[in-house]
Amino acid sequence: MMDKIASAITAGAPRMYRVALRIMGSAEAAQEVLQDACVKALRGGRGFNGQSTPTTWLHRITVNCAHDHLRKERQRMRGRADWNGDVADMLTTPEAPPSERAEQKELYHLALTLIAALPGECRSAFILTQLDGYSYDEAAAIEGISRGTVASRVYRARKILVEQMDRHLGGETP
Amino acid sequence: MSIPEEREMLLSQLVDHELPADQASRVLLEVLDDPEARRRLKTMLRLRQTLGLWREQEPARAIVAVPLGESPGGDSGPARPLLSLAAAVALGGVLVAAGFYLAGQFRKGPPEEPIAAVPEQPASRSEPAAPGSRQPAILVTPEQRREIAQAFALHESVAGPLSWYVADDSHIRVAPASEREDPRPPVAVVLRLTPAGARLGSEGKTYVIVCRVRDMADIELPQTSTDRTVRLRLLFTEAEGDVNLRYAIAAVGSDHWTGDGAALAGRRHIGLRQTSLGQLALDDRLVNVDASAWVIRDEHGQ
Repeated sequence: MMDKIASAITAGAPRMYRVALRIMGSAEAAQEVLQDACVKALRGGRGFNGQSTPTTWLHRITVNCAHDHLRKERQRMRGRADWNGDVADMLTTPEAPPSERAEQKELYHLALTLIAALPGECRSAFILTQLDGYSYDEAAAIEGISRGTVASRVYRARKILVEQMDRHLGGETP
Repeated sequence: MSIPEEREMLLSQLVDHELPADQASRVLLEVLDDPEARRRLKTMLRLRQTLGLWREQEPARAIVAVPLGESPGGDSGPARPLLSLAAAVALGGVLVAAGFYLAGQFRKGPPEEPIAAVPEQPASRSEPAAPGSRQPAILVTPEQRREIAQAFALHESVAGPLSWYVADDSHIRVAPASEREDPRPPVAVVLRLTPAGARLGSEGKTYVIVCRVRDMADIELPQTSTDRTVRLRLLFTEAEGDVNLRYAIAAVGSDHWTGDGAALAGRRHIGLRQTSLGQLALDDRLVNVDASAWVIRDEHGQ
């Protein structure tokens, strides 16, 4: 059992990191959250009762750890700012020419701003599947909704984003 | 002109690879005949691509989780490390001699007790020394390599092929190899736990370990007088003479699940010269974890 949990943690670490990165807004803080979450998951392994999947269980641990860090370090405001700063810088392709990197950065700024403004339910499903990288089934388990509802919410979020980005970019879609 | 919402929703699922293959093919065929649907699909794909780099983000430092509360040796159960106990007792002197002579003057006290995780350094061919840190100084000599190889060969001649063995100055643990026609090459490790600030080789604890290339070894370090257990998960690979190690080190108290568990993990290129695996915070000080490793070939016959 613990071997399976350890394997799930090892395999799921990159995604746990992305969840932490999204919440914390800095790579350094995300790495700390990831480490804490892994230790907590290992310590609490016997509390995993199989009622949820390892994916959803690890997701919850990661989110809880990230929120604990935010509370402790009072970084919520800094984290929000980083969404439009450090993280966008990090997500540009280093080898791209400066002009292309500037365009990428602008697109990220826009996309992340628009994602943050999505209606709550749509935003959550969209972030889980498009940023954190969960499948529809995994996102459904995390949210406690059906796969069809996830598909519908992702679609609605995507439709809103595409239309708004069209508008912002003067008809030039991303 | 717009496309039906139902089809647009299918496009959204197509973009996310969430449609069954046959249904995806049908949707694609329909899209090819519909310019508006094609434009919509392209827009959705570009949006997904815009966020693609985010989904590729990975932690800078590798995470290898170790099952803290289970007996090392995996499915074969707690008796497995004891299988060759008789042989270990018979050959203990040889193994112990091979195990502790490298440390020179290391103390006979219990090993240090890691209680908190400290981030490990990224894998690196050349480890830059942190300010104030020790410089690697100990190099395993050919004589030392030969003695360890001889001890391992002697041990296997009595107990049969081994998955791993670990020895310190007073304890030995071994695990038989799984049934396989050709056991993979053995790799020797000298693992040191040294209090930060101590002179290398003068304090701390040294373990001699032998495991197999490309075989994950879950090892529990020999019991000491403390109630804390230190577990290792080691995976060695070898390519063009380079030995690479993926490792995780964990420590738990007598109460495995509420105690102060520790974890340290990472990847290293490793060789005969001592390489830092990281640092663990102890009750009131830090302990450096260092290792040297090499693939055992014909040293025992040299």
